[in-house]
Amino acid sequence: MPNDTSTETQLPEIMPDAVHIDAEGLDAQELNRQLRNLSQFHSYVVVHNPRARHNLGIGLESSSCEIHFLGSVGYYCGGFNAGANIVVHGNAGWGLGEAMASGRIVVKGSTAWAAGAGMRGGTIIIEGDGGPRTGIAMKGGDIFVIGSVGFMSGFMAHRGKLVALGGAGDALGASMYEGRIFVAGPVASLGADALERELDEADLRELSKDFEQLGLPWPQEPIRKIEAEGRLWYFDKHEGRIWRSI
Amino acid sequence: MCGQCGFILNGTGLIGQLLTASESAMVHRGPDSTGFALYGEELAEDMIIVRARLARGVDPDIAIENIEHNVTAVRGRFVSEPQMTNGVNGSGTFLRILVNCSEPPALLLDAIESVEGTYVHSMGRRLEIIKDVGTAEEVAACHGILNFIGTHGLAHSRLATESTVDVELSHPFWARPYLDVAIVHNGQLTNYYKMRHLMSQRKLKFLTENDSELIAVYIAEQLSEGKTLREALWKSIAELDGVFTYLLATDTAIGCATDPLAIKPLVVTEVGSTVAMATEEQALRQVFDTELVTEYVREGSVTVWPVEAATEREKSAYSA
Repeated sequence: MPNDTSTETQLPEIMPDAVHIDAEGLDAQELNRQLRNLSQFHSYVVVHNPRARHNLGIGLESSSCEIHFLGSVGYYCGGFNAGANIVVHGNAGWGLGEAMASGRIVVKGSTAWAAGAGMRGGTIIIEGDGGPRTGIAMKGGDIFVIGSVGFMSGFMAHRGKLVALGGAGDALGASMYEGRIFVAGPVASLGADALERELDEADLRELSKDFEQLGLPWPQEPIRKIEAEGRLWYFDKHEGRIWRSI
Repeated sequence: MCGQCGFILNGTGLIGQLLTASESAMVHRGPDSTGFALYGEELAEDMIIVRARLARGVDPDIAIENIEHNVTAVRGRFVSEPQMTNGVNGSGTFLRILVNCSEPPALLLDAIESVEGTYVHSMGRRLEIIKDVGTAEEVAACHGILNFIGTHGLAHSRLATESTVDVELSHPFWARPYLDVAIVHNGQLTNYYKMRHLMSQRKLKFLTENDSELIAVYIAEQLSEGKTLREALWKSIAELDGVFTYLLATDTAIGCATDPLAIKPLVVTEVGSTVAMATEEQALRQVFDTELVTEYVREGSVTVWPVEAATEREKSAYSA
């Protein structure tokens, strides 16, 4: 998947009173401890040199603080997020915002596998592309992807909403429960039990409200809504064929 | 898990140092053992570098004498005195032997390995495989990896899943008896025994029962039949079953193939004319100070990066 560059020049010109931390030389535990403390007393915390290291910004509490990572982050960034605002000025590795409960994570670049895996609430915004299995087993919350998402995105989503504006890979929405996927652009294939449904008035209202709040442009291509048909909700051993997703 | 990386330099440079720095950042992915496949300057025709290990308890002086005797029997000779290194925590004696031999490599290999307790890790005009139990830093310090100058190379930290922790079962694997072909592999094959049975019928031989060694031999056999690396890699995706993201190096290129689900990641970046690839992005960022443009290898895909020093003719063959 294409990724974009991230340089320090992309940092917005806000945050005159920001606190700066250099991640170099700090282990992830110590860095997260500092982030938890600082985010309670400051409006902006800027983390330099994340260097795609893993487990950054884990378990942060709710606050009005914005935490900026200047560069790419590794696996599980923003995991167990309980209300923090995180901005990644780069790409994010595997499992971004895994099991987050609330808060918001914005990624300026692209994400690897399984962004928002098992998330229960909050919002993830990916400005580049989402990798395969984006929103896997999500149980709530919203994921917005400006680019495309990879194969098996929305796999086994229990609840929540995944919006992809640049298309999707194979087996989109395979084996879903009550999650919803909105996708614009080409979809390689739908997964087992995934069904395209008409967008109703309520959907359109909800989406246009989201887009307005997030400042996203309405996509040129029509938006399709993917939901579970419900055939897999009750197991029947004679139906082995419909369980296959790829 | 396993963590692997590869580098192709613009010309020659301290390839061992780069691989060690990058691999050290992935120790958490596989602390069992570490290995390096390094490609140095090309030797003259008939000259072969042999890297081998003598098992614990084997007397190196007697073993070397026997090896030299066997090599002479296949009309070969030692060009210089073999270099000996003691492995990490007494894992055996490691040999680097420069041999002049115009017989087929398989003959030379058999001659060397017929000495009891000798395991050949690699043979090639440029390839040297050094692998041992321990972390990247331990292995690199013990075997002088940091000073190695070459054009390209692979490295691997192993978390043993399918077989025990052992020097011979560490990556990279050499595609015996094909000179200069090495592999590092992340994943496991599920049709290993079927493939091995089919390949054994074609008289192909293996040192271990490791699935990654099979892939190396599988690709090398096709290259020897005249297929391009790209064709061989595509064929492997169709015929191998299981989980794999592997890097296969020859003296002129590094290729990568991934299975159709590609659960094992690989991140690639190009800085100037240097191509670098690693399982984790942060491993690449340990090496380069500048902000990187990185790209994940796609599922079910083949990529081939030619070595800069390769001739134009070889390059065009790989891009076909």
